Formats: sequence, structure tokens, C-alpha cells
Amino acid sequence: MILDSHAHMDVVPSLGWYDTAEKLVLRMDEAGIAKAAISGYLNAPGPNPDSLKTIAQAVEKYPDRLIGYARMDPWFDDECIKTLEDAVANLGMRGVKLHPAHYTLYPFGALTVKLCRRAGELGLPVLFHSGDEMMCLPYQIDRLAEQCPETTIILGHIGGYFSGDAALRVGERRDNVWVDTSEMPFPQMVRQAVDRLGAEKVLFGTDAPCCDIHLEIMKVKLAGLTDEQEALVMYKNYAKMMNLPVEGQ
Amino acid sequence: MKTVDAHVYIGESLFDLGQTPEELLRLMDEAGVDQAVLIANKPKGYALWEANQAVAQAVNNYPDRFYGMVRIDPWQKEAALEDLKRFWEVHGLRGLLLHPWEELFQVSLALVDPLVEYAAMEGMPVMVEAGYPLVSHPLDIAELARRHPQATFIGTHGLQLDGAAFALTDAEIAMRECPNIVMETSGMYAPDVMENLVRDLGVERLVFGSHSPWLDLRLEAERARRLKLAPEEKEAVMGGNILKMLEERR
Repeated sequence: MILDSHAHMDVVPSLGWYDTAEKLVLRMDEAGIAKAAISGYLNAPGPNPDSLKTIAQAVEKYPDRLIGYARMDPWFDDECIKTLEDAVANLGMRGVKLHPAHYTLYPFGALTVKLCRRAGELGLPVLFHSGDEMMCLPYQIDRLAEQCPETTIILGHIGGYFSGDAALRVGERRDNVWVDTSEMPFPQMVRQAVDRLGAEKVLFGTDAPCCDIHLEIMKVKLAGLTDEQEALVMYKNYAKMMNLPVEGQ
Repeated sequence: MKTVDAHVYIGESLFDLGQTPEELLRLMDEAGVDQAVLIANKPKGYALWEANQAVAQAVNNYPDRFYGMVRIDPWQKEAALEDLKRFWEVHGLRGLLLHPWEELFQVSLALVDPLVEYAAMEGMPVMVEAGYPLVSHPLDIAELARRHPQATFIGTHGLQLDGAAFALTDAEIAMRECPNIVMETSGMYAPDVMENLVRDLGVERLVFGSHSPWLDLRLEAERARRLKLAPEEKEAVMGGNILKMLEERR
């Protein structure tokens, strides 16, 4: 069984991205992904007032396959929090996605801390784009994680191309920080993450459909994990985090 | 179909990424790669000249499996040009490798011009390690390529190393603006961009490379093989294009 903790669907012509739910589910079928967490490419509140509805409609169409995350912009403060509460109550959102380079706020600043604390109270994990861009650096997100010990924070891409060691140091020091394997190209970084954080804190993710799911799986296979470690990474950890049923249990 | 990896480092490495020719050959066999273009790692003693010689030696030892490029530090100025000439004329290395991140120069600096002019004159491709913060952004490479329309550049990593995908657009702009840039596939997470490139700008604009051992040769070979291309296009991308570039000699 494979659960993908980091995927996307959205259609944003101005960015040139046409990633429909149908396209994602087709790729999931080809690669044997049971369920995927999806977020859009634009923040809410933001330029597309229907961005969260688009995600909710995709989840409604594929309720057994997709899990909706609200991609948000903390600049909007109380309006953002209200949008999130509404998205949980009425649109079935189960997580928050933040890409601070898209809205340019320090992740450790008061607005993001407030949003992440509320997400924690609502029982939602917060998935960050982490990487080499300003506002997305692991040590910046570290200073958020410290202020939100009750919120589950996921560092997407294990810090990207150059910030992998930093992401793992943050994961080592914070009980509330996980990492996901998506997009970055290093099997050895998956291995290091498991060795340094424990396999329980490493989540499989694909960043599909931008990334090729087949290669994302192969990357984990090349990491040389034990069967039990691989099972934790590929589905058990995420199933536990999101309280999802697991095959055969 | 012959599979040729256009982008592999060998030798001891300052950055603990060493690989011997024999270790590489085992990896290539495992990944179904017939031939590879070797580049010298930056060695612990910093002497690129010695490392380039080791590349020439490996090519000599395994002429059926390896080609070589010469790695030059432009900060060496006149000595850099002399090295480039010697490794091209005497040692048979067939391309110029610029590593702006490890040799620390922005690739669009005038410092690079004499090397590129020589490479263009002789018909050597110029591979640029692309996407490193501040030194080899796609538009830095475009700037260099526009200044040297007679030279052929290979931009590694799809011209970018940007997990946030902002630089994919810049890479596409650089490829459209500069017909003398060829994209290399290693670590490039967006297959659509590479497939569109082949469709829109021509199959000769894309080559397979792995950037082993920094990246995993097995994963990178699979990345290139997975591209949705026609069989003759695949043949060109997986080896035909780079062989043509290496065999060109003016």
C-alpha cells in the first residue's frame, strides 16, 4: 500500500499549470497510489475565491482517493483563520499547505504562528514547502515549530537540493517536525532521514503530477531501507497521522 | 540503441563524492548505460590539472566506454586557456566543463569569454553546471549563450535547481531565446518541460546525463528513459545527441 502525503491539483492558466484531479488520479492508478493529499497552486484567501472549493470538489469526486489540504496565505490574519475554520467545517479540509515564498512572510512571524497554532487545535498537520528559497529555509521554519509545539509540521522535500542537512537537524530537535521525501533527487537523503529522525518521522510524498510518481517510489526503493522502515515511510506513518484505514487491518 | 551518460564525475573528491572508473563502470552496467562522458571531481589538493589528467587516463584505459571533458577554473586566466588547449589538442578531451558553484564565478562574467571563444572555434561543447544559487541561474546561462552564438552550451539539471519551480519558466525562456543551449536531464523533476522542449524546439535540444555520483545514476537513467518520446527521439536524447556534439571538430 502507498499513501502520498504531498500531491497537487489545480488549474492556473497564468502559471501554465493544468493539473486536474482526473490527471492526478490517472497517474495514481498507473503507479499504485491508494490515496494522496492534495493542495492547489494558489493561496486562500487569494486571487481565486474558489480555490478551496476546487479542492473540495475533487475530494468529493474521489472520496476514497484524495485528501484535501487548504493552501493558505497568513497575511490575511483573522480572515485566513476564518477561511480555514470554514474549510474544515464545510469543505472537509484535513491539512494546511504553506508555501511562504509565494506570499513572502517569515514563517516564524506572528501571523504564521497564529495560523499554525489554530491548525494544531483543529487537528490539522501543516505541510511546508521547505527548500533553498528565502522564507522556506528549514532554520526559519524551525523557529515557527518551536512556537507551535502542539502542531504537526511537515518539511516538504527534506529541504530541497541544498538544505537537507538543515531540515534533518530541525527534525532531530523538534518532536513536532516530520519530513516528506517528495521531489528532491537524492535516495541517500531518504536514507539519512530514516537514520537520523527514525523511520516514524519520514513520510512518502510525490509532488505529483509535476513529478513522476514512478521515480518518487524508485527513489525510496534505492534508499536501502528495511521492509519495516519502508512500510512506515510508504504508508504507515501517514495512515497513523491522518487516522486512515490500512489494508489488511 | 546506445545509451550515453553525458555528465559523470570521477576521481577523489574534495566534497567526499569520489568515484573510480571501475566503480562507475559497475554502476553503468547495472543501469544499462553503455558509455559515459567523464569530468574530473575537484580533488582534495585543488589541482584540477592533475584531476583532468586522470580523466584523460581513464578515457585512454577504456576507450570504448568513456569520453572526457576538461574541467577549467576561469579564475586561472591565461593558465586556464593554456590548460584548455592542451587537454583538447594533446589529451583528446572533447568538451569544456564549467562549474560556477565549485570554482565560484558567476557564469556570465567576462572572465569566461576567452575559454568559450576557444571552445567555439574548435567545436567543443561547453557544459555549464546550472541552477546553482546566484552563479548559474538559467538567465545567467542565457546571457553567456547570447554573447557566444557560435558556441554550443549544455545546461545541466534542466538549467535549474529550484524546488519551488519558479525557475522552470526562466529555463524555458533561456531555451527559447538561445538555440545554442542544450538541456541536460539530471535531477530535473518536471518531465513535461522536457517533453515540451523536444516537441516545440526539437529533439536535438535535450541530452541524458546523470551527474553521478552526486545524483544516483540508476534513478537518473530511469528519469530520462521515462520521458514520453518517439523511439527515434529517445535514441537521440539517450545518446545520439551527445555523441554528435563530441564528434564535431572544426
